[in-house]
Amino acid sequence: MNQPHPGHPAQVPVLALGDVLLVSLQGELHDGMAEQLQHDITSRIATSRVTGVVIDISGVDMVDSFLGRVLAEIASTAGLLAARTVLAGMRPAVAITLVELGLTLPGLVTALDVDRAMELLTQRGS
Amino acid sequence: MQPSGQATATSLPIGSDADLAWVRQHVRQCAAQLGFGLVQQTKLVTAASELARNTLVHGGGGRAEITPLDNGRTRGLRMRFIDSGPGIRDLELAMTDGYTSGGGLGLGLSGARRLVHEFGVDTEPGRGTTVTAVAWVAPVPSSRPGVG
Amino acid sequence: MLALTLLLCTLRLVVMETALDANAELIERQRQQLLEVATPVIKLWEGTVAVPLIGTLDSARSQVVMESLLEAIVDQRARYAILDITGVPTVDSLVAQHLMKTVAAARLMGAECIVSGIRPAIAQTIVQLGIDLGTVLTRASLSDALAYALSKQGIEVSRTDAGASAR
Repeated sequence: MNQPHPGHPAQVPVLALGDVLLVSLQGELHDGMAEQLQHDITSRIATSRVTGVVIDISGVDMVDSFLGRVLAEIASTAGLLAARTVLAGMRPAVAITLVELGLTLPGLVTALDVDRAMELLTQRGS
Repeated sequence: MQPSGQATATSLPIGSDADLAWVRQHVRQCAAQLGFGLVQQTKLVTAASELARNTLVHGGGGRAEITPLDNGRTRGLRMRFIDSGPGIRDLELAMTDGYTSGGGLGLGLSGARRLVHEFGVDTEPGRGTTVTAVAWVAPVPSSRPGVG
Repeated sequence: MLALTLLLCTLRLVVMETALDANAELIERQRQQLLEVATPVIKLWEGTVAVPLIGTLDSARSQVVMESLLEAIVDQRARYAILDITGVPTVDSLVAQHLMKTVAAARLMGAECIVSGIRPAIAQTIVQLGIDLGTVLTRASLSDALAYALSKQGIEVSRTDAGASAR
């Protein structure tokens, strides 16, 4: 497995596709990076016309309660700013672990992958 | 496959975010080497992340001790998280789902316990806390009562 | 001389232990394989997968079921996953808990899970035990569950004239 160097902090890029923000999380995510991301997304929604946020976690091999909370908070904050958030691509092992951990993220909309997430956002949006 | 030599513990410091990432990566590597399946690896790494964060946030930092185990029938991994922080005053309360003293979801201890096979907390107010978690590769499906 | 004998004995012991270990490992592997064989995941339709559960659901087996169902959801890009418990003799709180965990995990991956084949007796036990399956979508039979999954995907199944006359 070639994970990025864990001591190497980086920012998570936030892409804009039309009025949807696409965030692709990859590998190790530091707590600080996750909080920074939360801040970035919120300010992007506030400053530009954003109706949806897709968070792709297909490249993430672990979600603990901290990251789970950050994801849930991003979704509720985006919701307050009238943008819908879809969490896409969670791996089976991660889903099983989250459920065992007791974190079922009931408020989050989920999709199998980014394609499905986009479908979901455009369907409801129109 | 090597016959089991006396396995040695690896000690990792827990003092920052980046250290949590190191602990996770080390646990992932060990678990894969020991033959844990992908789901069990993920559970171990997640448990390690929860417990190491507890050590950092509530214990004011400390260290993790990761030890490969071999009981003759199967292999396992022991993770120990040691801090000399304030300790846990009400352990039973701390082990309850949803209880939190720091901004988390309150799933740290209780959640991590569900991800491993053996779990123990040794704490004394003012002296610190040691949390020990052990998981075995493909454990015998004994009458382990439903967790949670 | 004595030392040599001792050494040989030790060697023999080591060889035997290794053989025993290998055996135990084989049994463990076969047990695991048996578990996997006993729980096939079937593709019922484009985007719909199902696992017919037969026999007792213990913790080890539920784990295998959950894993293979979730893998199938990824492989088949399924939107709907059906857990059919027609062949499960009893549902206690532990089994119910396993079902709910599977449903929750599937939802996290973006698929909706339907539990079908709840026989009247089992429905009664579930209620009597006070198990809350409130968050779980249930249907009486596998075909009801499939009908639900199809209609949600906008697929309509109708009888052709030829089929109707065959009755």
